[in-house]
Amino acid sequence: MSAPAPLVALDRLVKHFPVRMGLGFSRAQVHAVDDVSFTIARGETLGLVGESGCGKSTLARCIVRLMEPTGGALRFDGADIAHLGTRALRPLRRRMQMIFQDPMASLNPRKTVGEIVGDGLAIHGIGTPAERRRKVDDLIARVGLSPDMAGRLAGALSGGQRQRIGIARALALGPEFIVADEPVSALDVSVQADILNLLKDLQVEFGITYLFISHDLGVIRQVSDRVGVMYLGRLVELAPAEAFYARPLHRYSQALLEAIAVPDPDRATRRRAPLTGDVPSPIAPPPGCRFHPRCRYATDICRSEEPPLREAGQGRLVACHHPNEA
Amino acid sequence: MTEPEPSTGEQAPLLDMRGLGVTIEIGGRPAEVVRDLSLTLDDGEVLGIVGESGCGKTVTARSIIGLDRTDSRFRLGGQMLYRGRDLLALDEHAMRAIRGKEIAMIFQDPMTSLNPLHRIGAQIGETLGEHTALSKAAIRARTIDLLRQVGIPHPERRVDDYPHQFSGGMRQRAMIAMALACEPALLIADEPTTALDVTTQLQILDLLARLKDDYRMAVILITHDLGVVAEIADRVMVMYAGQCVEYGTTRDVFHAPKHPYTAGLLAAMPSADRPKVARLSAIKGSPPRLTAGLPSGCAFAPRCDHVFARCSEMPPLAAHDAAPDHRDRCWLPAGDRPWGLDPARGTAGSPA
Repeated sequence: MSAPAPLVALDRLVKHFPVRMGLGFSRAQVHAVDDVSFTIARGETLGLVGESGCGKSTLARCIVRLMEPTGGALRFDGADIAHLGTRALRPLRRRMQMIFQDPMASLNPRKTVGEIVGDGLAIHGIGTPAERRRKVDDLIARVGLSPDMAGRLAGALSGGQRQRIGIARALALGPEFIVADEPVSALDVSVQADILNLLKDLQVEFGITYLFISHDLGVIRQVSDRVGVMYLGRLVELAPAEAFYARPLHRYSQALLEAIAVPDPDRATRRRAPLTGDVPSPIAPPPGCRFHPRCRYATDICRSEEPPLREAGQGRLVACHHPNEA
Repeated sequence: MTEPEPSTGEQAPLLDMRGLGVTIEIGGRPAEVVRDLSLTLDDGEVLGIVGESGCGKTVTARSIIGLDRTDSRFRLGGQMLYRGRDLLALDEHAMRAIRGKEIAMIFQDPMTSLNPLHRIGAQIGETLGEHTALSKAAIRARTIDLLRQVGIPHPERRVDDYPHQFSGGMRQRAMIAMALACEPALLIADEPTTALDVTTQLQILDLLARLKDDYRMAVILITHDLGVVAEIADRVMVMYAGQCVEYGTTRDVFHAPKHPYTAGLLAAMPSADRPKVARLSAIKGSPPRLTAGLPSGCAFAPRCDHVFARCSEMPPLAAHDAAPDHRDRCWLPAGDRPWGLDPARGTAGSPA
C-alpha cells in the first residue's frame, strides 16, 4: 500500500550513554539504542518486544523526547524533533504522551486523582478551572472509574485504578500518539485484560497511534498491528503481527517465542531452554551479529559481519544471516 | 515430565498442612489473609500455588518455613506437619535447624538472600558451615560444585565474585545454589522467575525441574504466572482471598477448570499462541482487599458472572465428579459451568 506519510518516523536513531568503568576514569559508551529505523502509521499500534537491557525503554523515552537522541533523525508528523529544546517541544507535549508501568511511581501520592489528571490541562492553560474540572470528571468516567475518585489521594489506589488514572492523565490533552511502556506488566491478569480492552477502545474512539512496549509476547500479539523485536540496542526484526507469530524470521525472535511458558501442561513437556547464557553487556556488544554468542545457528559470518536489516517480503524486515525461512 | 502420580497413601506425606490460618494485624485491625488452607506434598512433587496479588500465596509459603513467626502482628493457626512434626509448635531454635537444611526458600529478588558485601562463595559456604561438619576446603569444593550444578560458567573463578558481578539470571542461580547447599527435601520458590526475561525464565524452570529429579526434592512454586505453573507443576492450587478455590492435577485444572475464577484467569490471559481477539474476556472488578474484611459467603461472588442465591453461603472445597482429586469451592452444579471447554486453547467462555 502506498501509505500516507507516517505519524512517527525514526531514521538511524542512536542513543549512547557515557559510563565510567570500574574505579578508573576510562570512558565507555552504553549502546542503548543503535541505528534504529522504523515508521508508525497513523492509527497503527506498533508493538516493541525485547528482553531487559535491549533498549526498548530508552527508545521510548527518546521518541517522546523525554531524552535527546545522540544521533539520527526523529520525525513527528513530518518535522524533525530529535534535537528540539524544551520550549520548542512544548506544543508537541500536547500531541504525544506516555503511559508508564506504574504511573504513581513518578507522581506525588499525596496529590488527588483530579489534580494528577488535570495537571496537563492546567500547565497548558486550557479552559477555565470549572471547565477543567468538568473535563477531568469526563476523563475519569471514560477510563472506567467512578466520579468520586477525583477527590481521592492517588497513593491509596489499587494497581488497576492507578493505571486507569495514568491513562486518563495521558488522554487529558487529546494526544494523537501515545507511547505505552509496559503498561500492564505490574497488573494482575484479571485486571490486565480490562486495561488492554480500554486502550483498544480509546484508540478506536480517538484515532490514537500507539507504540506499545512489552516483554510479554502474548500482550504484544493482542494489541499490535506490527511487531518489532529489539536485541542489544538493535532492531532485529519488524513484521506484521500475524506473519510474525506464524513464523518469526530472526533466530532470536524464534527463541523468544519458543521460550514462552504457555498455560498448557501438554505442551510444556519438559523442553530445553532454547537459549543459554544471558544478554551480553551493551557496553561491549559482541562483534558481528550481536546475538551470535547465544545463537545455535551462528556461523563464521555471524561472528565477523553484522547483518543489515533487509527486506524479507510481505512488509517484513530482518537482520539475520541465517533467518528462519521456509 | 512424567504423569503426576497420586499420593500412595502408604507413607506419610512430606508436608501435611492442615487448616492453616494466618491473621495479620494491620492498623490495629486483624485481617484474615489465609483461611483454612490444607495441602499435602510428597517427596519429589511440584505443587504450584497461583493467584493474584494479595491472595495469600506468599504468606502461606512464608508460614511453612516460619519466616513471620516471631512477628507479633502475625497469628498462625492449624497444623504444619513436616515428616510428622508440627512446625508451628516448634520453638525458634528447633525451627532454625530445619530452615535451610530441610526446607529452603528462594525469592523473586535474589538480593533478598544475597548480601552485596560478601562474596558469592562465602555466602553459600556459610549455609554449609552452619548445617554440616565439613572442613573449609570441603566447603569450598562443595560450593564450586553447587555453582556448577546450577549452570554458572567457570564456577572455580566466579565463586569469589560479589553479587553485583553476576547478571540477574546468574544471581537467581546463585540463590538456588545456596538453597540447595544442604540438599533440602522441600524447596519453596516464591515467584522465582518473575523478574527474569523469558529466555532466562525457561532456563531456571528447567534447572528446578532437573534438581527436583536429581534430589527427589519437593517444590512449592508460588507464582501469578499460569504459564510457569503449567511448565513444571504436578499439581496446582488456585488461591483467592486467602482460600484455596481449586486444587487438582495441573492437567485437570488447566484443561477443565472448575471454578469460575480459574476459568476467568485462563481466559483473560492474552496468548502468543492465538490470533488477537476483539476483546479479551476480563474478570470484572478487582481482588478484594483483605484488610477491608471478607464477605461471609463466596469471596469471588462480587466478581462472578454466575452468582445465585446460594453464593451468600461459603461453599466447601469439594470434588464434584469422577475425579476425586480435583476439588473446587463453588456452588454451581457441574452441568452449569459453561467454561469447561478448553481455555488453554482459547475457547473459554464461548459455549458451543
